[in-house]
Amino acid sequence: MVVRLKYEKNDPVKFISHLDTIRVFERAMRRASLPVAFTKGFTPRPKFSFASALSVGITSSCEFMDVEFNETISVDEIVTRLNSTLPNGFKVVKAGVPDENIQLSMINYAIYAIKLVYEDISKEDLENAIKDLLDREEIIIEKKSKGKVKKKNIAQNIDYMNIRELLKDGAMIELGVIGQGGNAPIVAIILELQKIIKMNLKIKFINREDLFIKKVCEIIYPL
Amino acid sequence: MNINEALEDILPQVSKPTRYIGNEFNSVHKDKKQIKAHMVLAFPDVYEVGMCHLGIQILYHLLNEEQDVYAERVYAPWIDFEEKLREYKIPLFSLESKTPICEFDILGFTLQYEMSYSNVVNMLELSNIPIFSCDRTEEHPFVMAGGPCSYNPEPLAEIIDFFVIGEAEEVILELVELYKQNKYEGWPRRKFLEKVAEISGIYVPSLYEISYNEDKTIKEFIPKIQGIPTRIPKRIVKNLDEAYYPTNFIVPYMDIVHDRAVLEAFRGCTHGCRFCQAGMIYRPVREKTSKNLAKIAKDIIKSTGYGEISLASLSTSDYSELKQLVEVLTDEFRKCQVGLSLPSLRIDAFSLELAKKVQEIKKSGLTFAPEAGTQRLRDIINKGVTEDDLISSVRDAFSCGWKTVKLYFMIGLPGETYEDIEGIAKLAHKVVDVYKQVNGNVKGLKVTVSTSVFVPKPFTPFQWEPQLDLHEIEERQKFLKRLLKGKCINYNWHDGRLSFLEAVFARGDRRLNKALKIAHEKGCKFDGWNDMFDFDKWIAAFQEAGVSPEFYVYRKRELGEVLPWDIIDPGINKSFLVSELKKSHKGITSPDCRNNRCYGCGINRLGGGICGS
Repeated sequence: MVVRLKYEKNDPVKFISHLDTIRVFERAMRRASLPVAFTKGFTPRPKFSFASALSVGITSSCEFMDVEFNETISVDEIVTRLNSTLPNGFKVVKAGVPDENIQLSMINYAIYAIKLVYEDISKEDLENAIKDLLDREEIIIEKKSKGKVKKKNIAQNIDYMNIRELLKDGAMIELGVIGQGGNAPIVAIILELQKIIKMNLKIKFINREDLFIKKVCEIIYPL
Repeated sequence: MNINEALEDILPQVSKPTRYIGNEFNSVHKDKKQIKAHMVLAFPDVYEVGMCHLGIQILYHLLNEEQDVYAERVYAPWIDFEEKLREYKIPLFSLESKTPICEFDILGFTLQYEMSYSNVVNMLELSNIPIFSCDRTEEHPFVMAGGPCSYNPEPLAEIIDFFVIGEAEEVILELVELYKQNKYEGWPRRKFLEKVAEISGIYVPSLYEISYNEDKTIKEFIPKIQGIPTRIPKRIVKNLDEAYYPTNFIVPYMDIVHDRAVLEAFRGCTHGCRFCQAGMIYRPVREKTSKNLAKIAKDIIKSTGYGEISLASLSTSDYSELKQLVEVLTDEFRKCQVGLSLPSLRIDAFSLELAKKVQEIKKSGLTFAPEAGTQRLRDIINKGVTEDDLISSVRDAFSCGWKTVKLYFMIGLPGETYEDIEGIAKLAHKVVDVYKQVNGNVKGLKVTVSTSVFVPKPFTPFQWEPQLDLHEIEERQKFLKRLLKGKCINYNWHDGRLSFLEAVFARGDRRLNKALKIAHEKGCKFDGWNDMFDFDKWIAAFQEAGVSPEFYVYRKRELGEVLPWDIIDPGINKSFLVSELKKSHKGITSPDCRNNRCYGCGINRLGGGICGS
């Protein structure tokens, strides 16, 4: 049976990479004596599939993975047992048998909350800077991979950005990202914003709050 | 800025931030207010190397079982993180509670290889702890060290406050008790050091004066106070089967070098290879029962969730209950996909049946260590393996479908000639021929020949021998490279300069402490990492310190010379080492002493070993 898990990746484990996260779940399931199915062949691997990888340094209250089990087992039992064997910082919040037509690879939308800390920036200035950024046809991000610098326009991936809340020392920003499995180079986007506003914006935290499938006039939640 | 705040800033800027976050499953967190002795166990290399070390896992959990003791860990920060520590003016801190190292009661290093010494010094500096013992005051932690390199403590004698000789789990609680008394009664630093020197197995170098002869060799060790031993006996666990062994191993997040659970089957080795320090210092042989091991293995998997468990010992096939153990474990773990790995299988005792059992779950390459290319040289070094053994094992393995073979050799062994080097190549080509005979072609075959450079080590029969000249080593490596042609043969060799440096420190004395400090000031660190190693800086450091590395590396010692490590008593008689050296000169072997032969190494006076029963 395939079970879909929704889990949180919180502050203590936010620097753990996607590959490390896979290992965390494999080991937690073994500690919990859950009957995970393995691939056949040279190096057997647990039958996991994940939604898009979360960037290192970002927390999330909404991550998904599918797990195949060799035996039928109640989803509540899975949640209870896993939460007792997962390291501090990981928490399974929901589990269920997924609709076959809704695959994790279809996820294309994410909502992020970003806490920015700054000095002497008015609400208007910040709003105008965000508007400037959203109006741009091109937001070019440089990405280094294998020694080469690749340039990419990510303007189309930013669906919306707004100030959710003004805080004493900064603001909470909300960002909707479309495409690429809900991933976006958040730090680079804030850097662009900083260039527009010409003041120092310090990122206090980034949290992925929601992850779903957005169609033209419909939103589908994976679980 | 406090450490946690700084980390929020720093971690996104460095490679592999997981090295520094701690919080791993099974790591221990305690309230520091309830603690009477706060220790930090330090491995002077990067996290993914240090986390594989069994000794720290044992000591960590043993200490943390004590309610009023808290043991934490620290590893050498990688270059990028070190830069950030300096930039943010953050001292080196522990993984668990992020406490600055300088605030601990005791800082304990494990010394696994000489090439980590510069990291020891660097870590002290990053902790704001004076590098030399004599500059430390009551406000600083005591700095101790243990591990195999402590068998020659002298190159670090002015840096480390005290050394534990032998198996630390036997000593550490005694030591902690004394520390608690010290803290309660508020002893001056020197008083604690004098008291700790009375514990058997602990060496406090500052309490010994060393005098030298005109030829720069050591004249004698003179205890400065009464009541401390003239030789420090090693401590050992007598009953390994009943000894403490943790099942709640710390499970790292990141991929470490050997990412698996470790099951220690036995300690010690009776083969008596003459180059091998481990084979001498870890005697006597003490085994755990397979029944006990099977239980421990089950508990470890339950507690860690590891997908692989590895047997640990110096020579897996010597374990007397190996067959039963492997059967029990493979049955036990088949269902939950836990693989078993059996490293250090010796070719003479290589059991194909066992390997096949292991293969059922996971298949890995085969490793053989003939160490020398000809029978003549193997007899000199007492490596009791014949070419026929190797060839027949390889043939069996190929018949069973193995395609990858690694062959380990040493270059520069005492008595080595170019014929022996040729022998290495011949052996490798024979392995290829065997594959052809079995499979009809060489499709899929990969033979990797690796040569390390022989480094004479203390407490081995070769401890008096010089290391082969560096240029000559490089010549022989080139010579072998030319002989090892063919698409299915790969050749790897060690950097001879690194082995030269290893040879300096392996048999060095107290005068090297200064050179170590100077090398550190010049920026030497992570010397074991090829891209970090800077030989020229080391040579400059020796010059400035006024010591000649050649004195330690190339000099043949007289049998009567007082050696820097003579202050340590490893339980092995010097007369045994001399007799083994003389036999080696004549090419006479000393076959495994397990089978009712005794060469009088002297270890049975310590008790606990298989030869005492």
